[in-house]
Amino acid sequence: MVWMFKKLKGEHKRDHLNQGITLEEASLGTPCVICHNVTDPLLKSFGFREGKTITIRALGVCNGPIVCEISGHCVAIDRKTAKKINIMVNGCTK
Amino acid sequence: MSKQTILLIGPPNVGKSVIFNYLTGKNSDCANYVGTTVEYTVGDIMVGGQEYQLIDVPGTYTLEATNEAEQIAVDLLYGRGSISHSNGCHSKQQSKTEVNVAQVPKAIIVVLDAQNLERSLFLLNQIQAHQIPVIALLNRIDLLEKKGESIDVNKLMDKIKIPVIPSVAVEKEGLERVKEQLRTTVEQEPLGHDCLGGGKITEEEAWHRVEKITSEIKSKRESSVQQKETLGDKMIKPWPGIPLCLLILGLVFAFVVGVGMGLRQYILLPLFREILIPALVFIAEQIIPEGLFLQVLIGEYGLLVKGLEWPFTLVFPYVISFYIAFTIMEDSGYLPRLAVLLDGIFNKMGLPGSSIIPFLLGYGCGVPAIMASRSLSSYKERLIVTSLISLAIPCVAQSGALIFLLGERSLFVLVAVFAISLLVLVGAGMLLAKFIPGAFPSTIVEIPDLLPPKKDIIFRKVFIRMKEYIVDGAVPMMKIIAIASVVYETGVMNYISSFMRPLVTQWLQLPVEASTPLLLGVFRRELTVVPMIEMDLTLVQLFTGAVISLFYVPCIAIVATITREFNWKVALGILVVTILTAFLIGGIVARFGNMFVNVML
Repeated sequence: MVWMFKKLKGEHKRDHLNQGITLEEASLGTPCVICHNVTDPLLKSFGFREGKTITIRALGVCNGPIVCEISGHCVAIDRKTAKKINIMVNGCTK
Repeated sequence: MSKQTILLIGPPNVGKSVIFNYLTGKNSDCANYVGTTVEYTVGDIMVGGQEYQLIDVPGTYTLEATNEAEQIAVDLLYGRGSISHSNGCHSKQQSKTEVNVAQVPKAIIVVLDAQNLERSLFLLNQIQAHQIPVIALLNRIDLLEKKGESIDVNKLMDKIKIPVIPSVAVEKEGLERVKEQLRTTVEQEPLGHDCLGGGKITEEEAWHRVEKITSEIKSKRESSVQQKETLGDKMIKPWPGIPLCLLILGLVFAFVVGVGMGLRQYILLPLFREILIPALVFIAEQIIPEGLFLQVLIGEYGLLVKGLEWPFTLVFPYVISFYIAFTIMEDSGYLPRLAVLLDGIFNKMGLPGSSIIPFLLGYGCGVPAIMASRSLSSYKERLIVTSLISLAIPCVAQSGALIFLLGERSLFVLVAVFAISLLVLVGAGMLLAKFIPGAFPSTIVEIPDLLPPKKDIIFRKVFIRMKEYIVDGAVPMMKIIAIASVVYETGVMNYISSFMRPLVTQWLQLPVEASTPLLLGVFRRELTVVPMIEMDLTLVQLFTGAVISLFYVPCIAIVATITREFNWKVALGILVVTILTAFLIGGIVARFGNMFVNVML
């Protein structure tokens, strides 16, 4: 029950993973920076570009989408796509 | 000679259809979610004494199309669109308009989203590379200002070197300047360079430049989180989003049933049963001699009796209540939130959460719902959504008839019918996802702001949809009832029914006269239900009949739409599957229902 509640809040993610991780592994509410250029034109249009700050706002149930805030807007992306986006909590080294 | 065209292009959900309606005086559909426009819409516009055709193009984020609707936008820009466009529900008034879309447009109005300026400028830059005169409309500046931000329009014009008109389309602000500006733009030669200053640059450099322009012209006063944004955020989180979703859907169901029943009971039924129908029957009896013609008008299936009563007192009240509720949901921006909440569950059916929009539209009418599936990104997703809409989603007319048929006898049976519909929907979806080849759905959806719906827009949209129901729903229903009346009065119906007797009486355990709705249901979904109201059926028989009608053949209009959107093989396949499912589940329900009743007694 406690685990489910933590999962709903995204607290089950381990904090140490927040260094050089994918968006799928990021913690709820922590601002991160996108570290590389994605190739999908739709994602680029939504602001998923190198150097942009992104914050996870919600995690969907049943392995549902990750809702992110980027450039002041909310975008939901599936976890498979989120796995392809590399982020860093303290900014990119590039 | 065909008129020259002007395109209206922009990202989805930026207000293009509202601008189109203002400039052409048409009533194209618009809502607060991505993909409202899935086909192009044409209207006439006078610019400097010359008539042009304005084309409202499906929204696209970039010129690298990611779905069928966006591909239409790109094709129109290149002047390689198909000559005649489809007759959809998007804007029925112009469905027959001839337009030459195989020509390069004379000018383009690019609608920029003030809230998403970077991507709007990137799209503008891609469009300008085509060397067509362009004007830009900077829309939704009111929403930007509410967030404490502003854009220096003069500076923007200076940077991109084309006219920019700031606007708030829903309030009609700034739109009067568009025609005026178009007059000079259509006479101009194209700029000869893109808005980022010309020269060949890479895509990365283009993004870098739009980011730079945006940072230079945009300023933020102070950030202020508003109440509606907080509620919008809450609605996409599992907690409290899911309980809120159940509450909202429950309220919508109660509203549709309650308000529909009230309208029927206190307004439409007294009006038709006590005033209109008796008056018409009296007049018919006075002027038409006894015989077949009079019977066709006022007999068992009389055109002046059932032909008015069924479409206007049984179905119409629920059409009104459903579309009021649906319009409020679609205009507030709640539907994309629902799509995100249900995405994980929908993935199990091989679908993205955004399929909820065609599904909900299907509870209104299957035709626009199947067309709305164009905004989905793969053929597999479109085919699954279309099959499920045809199989297990009752249209508003059919739902209204079901509510009336069952609601007054047993609310439990009514809920059970909709529960079976939902179970079959999920089961069939999971099966189809397994057997139809294709990639797993991906979800990349922008969630619009949660906005309070505007009263005047709700009234206008509900009025348009009521008109559409009368023209495309009630009138065809009256025609079928007239045919049924002739077939019934001449005894042909009894003859045909005798062929269906074994199926109806033995397998489905219904009285032989239940063959009539099965015959009529081929033409209109609700006519599978409505004639059962007149029969003296037991509760189990009502349940069986309702379940059969739920899964029985989709109406002729839906079959025609599937043929047009896919091909005749898909339409035939869906037809066979729906008939077999209806009779299979109907027979099982009849047996289990009777067994249950026997045990209880």
